[in-house]
Amino acid sequence: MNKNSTTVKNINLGSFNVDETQKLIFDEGIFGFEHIKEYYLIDANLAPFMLLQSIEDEAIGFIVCDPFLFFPDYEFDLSEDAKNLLGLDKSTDLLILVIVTLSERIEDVSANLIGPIIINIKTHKAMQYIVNDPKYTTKHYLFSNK
Amino acid sequence: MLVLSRKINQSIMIGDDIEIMIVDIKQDQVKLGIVAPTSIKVYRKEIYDEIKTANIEAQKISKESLKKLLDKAPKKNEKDKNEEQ
Repeated sequence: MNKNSTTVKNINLGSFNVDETQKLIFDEGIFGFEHIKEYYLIDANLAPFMLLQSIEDEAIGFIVCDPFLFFPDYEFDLSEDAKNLLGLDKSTDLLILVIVTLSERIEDVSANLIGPIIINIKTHKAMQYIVNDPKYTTKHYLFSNK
Repeated sequence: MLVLSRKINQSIMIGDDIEIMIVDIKQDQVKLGIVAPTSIKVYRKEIYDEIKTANIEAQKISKESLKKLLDKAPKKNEKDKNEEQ
């Protein structure tokens, strides 16, 4: 048994084997879930989506994706403060993911572009960043032009 | 909630490290200047609330909705062309 592997469970999707390379540390958690500081980023056969799952609470997990897959023009400036908090010294260490809100109706599935998850893939530090641009909101529809 | 009245250029201290100053007052809008350590995040409340609400909504992952999403979504790489319908 690989001593670095762990099992993480999502209440709806089941259990997954993960290793430390998939761990993300959110020093401040994310908004509304500030008490959860550790998540694992899991493939879970959801490509192009992934599961961002808390190890502490199996009910706390989020579907995330690469925003550029659906919104190729997405862009924002990352503040120096945020870069320092993540220990980011190379832009190539930066990974941006967005949280997706599911819906029974596919045209209502949306991504939060004003609060992306930014990750330093070298240090595994992550945070939910607030983009300072009024053209972005919490609801950008993946499959419709609303 | 502590309620204080301030005039332009007066400040409020929160703890030793956070200062809020009234920079300008115009009709129905107050401009605030905020000095805080970089570890303290400062946001407009309605944005914080919006993102918090969106996170709470997104936490609800139903298997049915997820299946619908995966049926519709593009595959990330084009390698498996024989799966296209």
